[in-house]
Amino acid sequence: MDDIQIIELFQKRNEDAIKESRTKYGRYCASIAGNILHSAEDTEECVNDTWLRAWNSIPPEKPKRLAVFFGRIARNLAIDRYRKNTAAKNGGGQTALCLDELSECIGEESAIEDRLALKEIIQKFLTGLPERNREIFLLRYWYMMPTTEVAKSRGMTEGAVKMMLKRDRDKLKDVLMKEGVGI
Amino acid sequence: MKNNEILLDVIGEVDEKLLPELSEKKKKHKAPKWAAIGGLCAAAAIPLALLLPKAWNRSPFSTVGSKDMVLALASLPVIPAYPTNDDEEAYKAWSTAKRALRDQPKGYSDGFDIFFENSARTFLADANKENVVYSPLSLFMALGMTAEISGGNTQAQILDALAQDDISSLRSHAKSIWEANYNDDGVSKCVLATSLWTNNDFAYNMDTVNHVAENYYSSLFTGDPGNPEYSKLLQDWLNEQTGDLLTDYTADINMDPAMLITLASTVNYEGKWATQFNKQATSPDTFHAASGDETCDFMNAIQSTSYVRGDKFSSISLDLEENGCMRLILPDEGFSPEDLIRDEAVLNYLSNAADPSQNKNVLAEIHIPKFDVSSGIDLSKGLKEMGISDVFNADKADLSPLVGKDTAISLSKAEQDSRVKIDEEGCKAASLTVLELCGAAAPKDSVEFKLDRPFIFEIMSESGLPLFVGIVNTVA
Repeated sequence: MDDIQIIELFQKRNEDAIKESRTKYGRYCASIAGNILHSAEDTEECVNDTWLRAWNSIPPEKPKRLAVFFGRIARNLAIDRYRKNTAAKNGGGQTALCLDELSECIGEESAIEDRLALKEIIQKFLTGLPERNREIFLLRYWYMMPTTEVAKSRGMTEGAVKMMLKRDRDKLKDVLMKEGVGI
Repeated sequence: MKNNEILLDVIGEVDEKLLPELSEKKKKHKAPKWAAIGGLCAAAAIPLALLLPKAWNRSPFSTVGSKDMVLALASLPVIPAYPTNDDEEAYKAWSTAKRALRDQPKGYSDGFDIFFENSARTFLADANKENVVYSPLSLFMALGMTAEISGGNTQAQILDALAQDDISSLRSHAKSIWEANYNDDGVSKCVLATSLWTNNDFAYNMDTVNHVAENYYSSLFTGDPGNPEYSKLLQDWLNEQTGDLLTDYTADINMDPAMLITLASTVNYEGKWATQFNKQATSPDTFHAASGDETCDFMNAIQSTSYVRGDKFSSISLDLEENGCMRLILPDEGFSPEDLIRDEAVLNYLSNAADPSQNKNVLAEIHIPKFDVSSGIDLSKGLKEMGISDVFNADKADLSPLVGKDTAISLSKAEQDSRVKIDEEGCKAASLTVLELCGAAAPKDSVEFKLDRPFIFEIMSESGLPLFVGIVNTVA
């Protein structure tokens, strides 16, 4: 079933929308949540919650790219769950690694208060990256894909992926410092 | 919530137009075609970026001035092609040319072993279950060039790290090391290349620039670092010197518009096993990687080889036709490669050509995983640990021999990208196997040597210097 038909099912409040979404995007969402949580049980719950969250959002929302819409929900739910797990000392997966890597580019001296401004900076930074670098950056920090998987998906060596990410984190660090974010 | 957590959240809110498809078609990786074993190293591209210039005045030194980006290309020694038939004259010409390069003054590599041990410990001991490849020779050359353009304490720190008494001994040692390890005869290859990339909007002491170019066989370029074509030329040069093996890394190397000078050093190595591996004997087997079991192809053979039983490891050495050898070091159960790298005795073993008294000639049943490993090392932290700190600090760095005293510059980036790959192919000149083994004692013992867990490898040049050393933690 194509995305437009699935969205129509959501809009008509037809519960087949969830079934069709699970069939088409279940593995995709599980892959994103799994990278973050590293736990089959937590991942499954997260993916189930994704359909529920989508059910409550459509309508009024009408996603342009359904995959990204579901993926973003799964990512956010998984990060929330990761934070709860971490508080209970059960955290794991790629999230801790991604956070560790990102801490190289942002200080903790002052708390970030203007998230909208940060969003604009990040958007501009990513738009300015060469396409290949942007893809690699987002596969790592949006999808939180392990670097080995990023390398395989783009036909690169893992070392090259890591070096590219390192260089781009350095660039982001410069941008954030220049903008005075987190200093 | 911490700032890094907020950053991760905000990345999640990025415009969906920018997001790549997760299930994008896999692009086929360009597997380079080359001989049996190669170590490639686009190493130590070191841009010196301008920081807080006190003055941007023209100095009394002459300027590079030319609009042409290529100022001078290094003139490399010529080694006649390795004779493919019984042409005695051709063999003599080849042999004479090689011997002329190998024949260097006694003690020409003094200090290299100390530099090797310190730097290998620094850059390899924290592999953290990942693969890492390091070329000490390439870093030595890049640091040598940096010492030439430095003065005062900045130069002294580099000389200390390189274990050289003074700049003149470094200069003569570097030139001799370069020549003793150079080889490009059509059959095997060990080409060291260096280059200097200058900013055409700045005045340099050209005596210093020319001095480096002459002593390090460097090519010389100039251009506007803000011009993408200049960065592209640097990438092209690196790709050419490394046989396109490191294109994944070089594609992302761009000059900072504030760059004053970039020093680049590469090693391009290619050799053929002296004794061929039979492709038919290659079979899949389990490699017990640091992060879990993996299946990969193992090359299997029974060969006469030199074998060393160390305190915490065993090692074999596989000869490469007229181009040194590869040593494979398997840690004993209970020890990791990283443990071994921290061990003085092992480092000493790695830094020296094989001591005949340690070697035992054996008939070995060997099982070696085919591997293709690469890594990118950010050298900055390690160099500081090795005592090279002033050059990173614009207030302390003394680069007056290059730019005079009125310009504050410092080292802004130092990295090394390396790749090493082995397989069964390329061992076609079996006659040299005979030459290599001629005179060896008949094998008396037999051992089984199975590299089925993380190990160390080392490619040693014909002159006995470690060209590459690395840790293989995974072969997947």
